[in-house]
Amino acid sequence: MTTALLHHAALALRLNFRSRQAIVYGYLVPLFFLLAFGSVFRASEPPLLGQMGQLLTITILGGACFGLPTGLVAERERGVWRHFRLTPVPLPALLAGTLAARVVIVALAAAMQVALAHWIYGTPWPAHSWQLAAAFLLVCAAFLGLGLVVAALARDVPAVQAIGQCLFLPMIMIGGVGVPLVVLPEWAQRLACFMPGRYAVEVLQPCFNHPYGLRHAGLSLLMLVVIGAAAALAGGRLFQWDTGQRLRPRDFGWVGAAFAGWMVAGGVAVSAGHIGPVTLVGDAAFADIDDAAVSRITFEDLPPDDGIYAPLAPAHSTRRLTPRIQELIRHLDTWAPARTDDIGQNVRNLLCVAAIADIGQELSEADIARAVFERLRVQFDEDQLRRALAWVVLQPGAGTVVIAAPELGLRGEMSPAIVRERSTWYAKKFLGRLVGTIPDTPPDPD
Amino acid sequence: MTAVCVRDLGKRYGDLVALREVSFEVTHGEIVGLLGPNGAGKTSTLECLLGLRTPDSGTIAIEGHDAVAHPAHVQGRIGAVLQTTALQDAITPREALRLFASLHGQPRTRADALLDEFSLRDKAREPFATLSGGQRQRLALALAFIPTPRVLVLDEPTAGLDPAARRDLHERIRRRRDEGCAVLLSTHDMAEAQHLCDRIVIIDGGRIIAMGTPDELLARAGAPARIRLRARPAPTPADLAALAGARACTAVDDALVIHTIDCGDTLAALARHLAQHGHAILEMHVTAPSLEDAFLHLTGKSFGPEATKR
Repeated sequence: MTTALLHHAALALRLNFRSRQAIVYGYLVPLFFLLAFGSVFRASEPPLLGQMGQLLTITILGGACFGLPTGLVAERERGVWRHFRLTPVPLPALLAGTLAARVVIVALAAAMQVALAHWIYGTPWPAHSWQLAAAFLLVCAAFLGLGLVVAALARDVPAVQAIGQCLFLPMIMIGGVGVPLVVLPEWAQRLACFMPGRYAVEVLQPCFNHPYGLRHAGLSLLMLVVIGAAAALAGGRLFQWDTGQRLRPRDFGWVGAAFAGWMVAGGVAVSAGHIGPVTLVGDAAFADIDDAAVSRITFEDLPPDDGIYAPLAPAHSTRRLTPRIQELIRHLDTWAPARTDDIGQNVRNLLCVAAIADIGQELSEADIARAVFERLRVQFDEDQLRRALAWVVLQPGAGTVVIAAPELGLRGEMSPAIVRERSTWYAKKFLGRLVGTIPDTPPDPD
Repeated sequence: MTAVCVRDLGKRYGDLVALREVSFEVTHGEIVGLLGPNGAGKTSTLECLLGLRTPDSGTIAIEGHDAVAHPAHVQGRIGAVLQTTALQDAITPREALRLFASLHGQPRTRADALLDEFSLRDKAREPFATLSGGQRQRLALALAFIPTPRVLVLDEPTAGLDPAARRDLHERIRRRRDEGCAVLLSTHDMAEAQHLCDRIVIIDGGRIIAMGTPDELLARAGAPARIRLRARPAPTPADLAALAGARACTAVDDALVIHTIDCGDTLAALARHLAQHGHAILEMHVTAPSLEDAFLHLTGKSFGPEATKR
């Protein structure tokens, strides 16, 4: 039977690629979303990396709300499933083959998006490929169950479009899938807790740009399991192989069960305070940096300390400092961006000072960088500092960056992307010295 | 062993009684036709037999196996052509046959052999959407033969086919019958039933009205032959109705139609009557009684526009 099911799934794939409509919905629409997101978020740093979870969720959602049920209902209308019923292979097994084929179809579309985002916009590859694959399969499982429910509710192919849009559009607009949760009003964020789309984004996105991938996405993973299990159970029970079959009143209990998964997830999320956008970076990410993560960082690619980029002066202790540097050191003692509740962000902000001076080609840029290093060592204990610097290196796109610091006497407003790049270089230079990999430059003799 | 044995089959759809106490048998090496107008219960009967519907009452045995309690036991024994079955537009006959061969646990060579047997080799790589009606029905029949069935169930297999394709399909069905296959087909085409089937089960309103060979049914019904006549000057219907053997005479357009139970006597009497009264024959047709006439006699109603429009 396994051979038969593989044959069925492979043929389903081949037929999909012969259908113009399937190509448009399955691949051109995801491409359109990629280009639309690219036109809006290409200036973010790194470009589009923070939106890849949303993009992939839209693709899976499209496959679940439209692709899967359209195919199933069209085959049902033609009597293909009646014919399948006359074979010795059980229909649930054939349905599983159809779902497997759909997962492959959606996976190819998602891979296309990831690859094109990389080639067109320079979006980095996912940081955790295997975790992404696992998260992708989980999201597919959760959403394709919904697709089965849509197929059961739809009497014909046009009805699939109508019902599919009822699921697709709310999740895109106020479910944290198309429009990011962070820009939605509080009521919409609360409502989004009751939709699976946001949880899909929350498990897919960290696989792209979180140093620890899915480690902090446990709640969202659980929500998807609950939603997916309810939908798959209901979708399986409601599956109709014949156009003559109609939902009986008691079948709507199963429809209710499918959406009860949403309610349960929403209730848990709200009671757990999981309402606003999940902070994928910050204290939690910084705090979780361990020695293994630090040991993976290499230091060979750094520019020289006395070069043009990211210069670093020798230690200050035995040198006479200019009044300007002395004043900057005093200001750094009380500089507000380095005194927030978020240790990781404080370190990142201080590194930005060195970066701004470097980019602005301040006369004493190397000394300013040294002052920042000294400030970091004074303000944070060594373990904290080591992990925070590693976090900046491993997570260059995380958190926020300071791009101007006139209060410190630094001129100009810098590009966020370049500030992040230079901050990372300095973080590496400082970290290398902390862990002893880079010997610190001996102080200049007076 | 009886190939198909249906006993007291009953099926309701809500308030609608689709089948009531339907019983018949089919043996190997015969073609049995389920004949009836649309909505008579033919498809419901076949779908119960195939396990696509669960009967509310009665039993169905396929080669001695209970098809209601254990539908999986009989699936490999039955080949079926369903009335409303189409395939995906893009699938080719070769792909369809290979897919269903694998689903039935048959080797790929079985699918390729059926391509040749059903003259589909030239169309093996063509999408289903581009096949003609006859080619599609040949493919449907080829699909039905994948499990090498000893029982063949065909739901209106020639519906929508042109005469040549219909003859071709009839020939293929007869060949299977001659090979020992039990064939049960539904049709609302009287001529098809009369010429193709060894026995006919007439069904109407979910009940079996009559059952037997075509000749037996015609004899049992006592259906009249018809003599259609155009003459100048035209005789009166009353004169012709009084001829020997004639039961009635009606005017239809510019002709007269005599209904007779003894065609020979009536023709002789008609010839005499026309000669005596100086009527010149312009046109005359004699139509033997048909199953449609038998149906009319048995049920008291005509077969309906759907059945007669072909």
